[in-house]
Amino acid sequence: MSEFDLIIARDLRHLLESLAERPDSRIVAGATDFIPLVGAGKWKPRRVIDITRVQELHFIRRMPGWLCLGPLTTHDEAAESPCIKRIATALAEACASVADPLIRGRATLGGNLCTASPAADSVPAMLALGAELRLASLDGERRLPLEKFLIGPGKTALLPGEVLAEICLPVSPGPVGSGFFKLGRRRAMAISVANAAAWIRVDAGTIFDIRLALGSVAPTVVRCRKAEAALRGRRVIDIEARASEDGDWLGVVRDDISPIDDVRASGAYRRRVAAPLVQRMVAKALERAEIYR
Amino acid sequence: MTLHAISIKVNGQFRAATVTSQMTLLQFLREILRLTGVKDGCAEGDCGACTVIFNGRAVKSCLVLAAQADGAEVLTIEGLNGPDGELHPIQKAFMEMGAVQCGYCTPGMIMTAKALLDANPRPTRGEIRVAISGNLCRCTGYSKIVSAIELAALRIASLKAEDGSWEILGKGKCIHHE
Repeated sequence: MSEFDLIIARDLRHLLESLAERPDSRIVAGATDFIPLVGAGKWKPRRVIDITRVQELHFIRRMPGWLCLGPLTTHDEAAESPCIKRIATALAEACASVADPLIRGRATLGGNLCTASPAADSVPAMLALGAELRLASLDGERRLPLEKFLIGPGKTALLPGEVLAEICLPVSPGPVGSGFFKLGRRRAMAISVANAAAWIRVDAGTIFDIRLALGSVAPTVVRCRKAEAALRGRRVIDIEARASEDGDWLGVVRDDISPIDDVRASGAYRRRVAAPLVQRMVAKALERAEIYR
Repeated sequence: MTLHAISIKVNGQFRAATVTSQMTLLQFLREILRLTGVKDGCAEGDCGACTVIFNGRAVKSCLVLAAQADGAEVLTIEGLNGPDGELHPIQKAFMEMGAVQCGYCTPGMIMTAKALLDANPRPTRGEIRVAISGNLCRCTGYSKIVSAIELAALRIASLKAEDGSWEILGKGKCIHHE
């Protein structure tokens, strides 16, 4: 592993000051991506700040209208939290599908977001759930919708000196449901070939609001805005009745994606599976919205 | 590179050392403490041969920086047997069921099994398979390993019912040094 200086941040203040001193520092928490990537020479950080002791970044909080997660929330904590399972089912499912139980106990949601892999699993779930991020620096704070945070493979909208401080998931009143599905080569230790998440709010038997997200089919995790628009306002019963055939809305899923060939699958295969994945997750989210109606 | 003075409670004993910033917990355990029961397999988090119990949870020690582990409590395969050297019921079950072939994955498998049984004393075969899904065995497949963990669960339950001796022995070394 290449040599680097390591700072162990004691608290948020210490973290922000250390980062302001040297904005090129890389932040490490669960280290489950960090160590393999530095070991392979793909990352060559000169200075690294460990944030695992920053207690201000480790929480799960239910606020009026929001479910707020600290970036140090581990995948296991998110998968097992009764609150997340109920309010943000897609996120709990996504987190349970990542790597293996040993890695899920270390890997953090903040790490998954800031690594900004197009194949991340928790990210489509958070995107479908409408996540907003709170970013902090010595100069102050700002809020950013998750979609604006993801710029490209490995690239985020974090400015020099800025850290992810909070992940905020809006909690909607009324019957809502969400779901996540991962298509991988095996059930454990697989990086997604493609994954999909859906969030739906039902009102009076129609789809009142909907957010769909796909992973591993574009340079970033993406929203399927055309399919969302095609489904918004539709009667639930019509979608369910036509579940066996390819709904007319499914064709537009391909318009929002640009998959590539890589070691895990071909672009053509990803293009082919994207719509069925979305269809399944729409059905799952609707089913769950019905339960809470 | 920076140097870090760390103190980690390993198998019940506090062990202090100065480590470099890029040293992993795996390297610390093997190269400084000479606990070579912790196996160095892929060193990138895929194989699980280096699994130890870290603050009560099974983790891959190659994915933790030694400096991050300052103040933590770590249990390795070397700390699993009782004070008189008697093997832990999980170790005995692995031997009896023939769950060991080349043996390289075994310490990691056993530590994962220990963490599982501590949290869930009577897991189903399905739960065992999920628990060991991050530990690779390339020799013999997994059925005997799953059976060994099932057997160990039964044995621990009956030992606990008798007099609770293994409940004490399982954590024995830690208690002795506290």
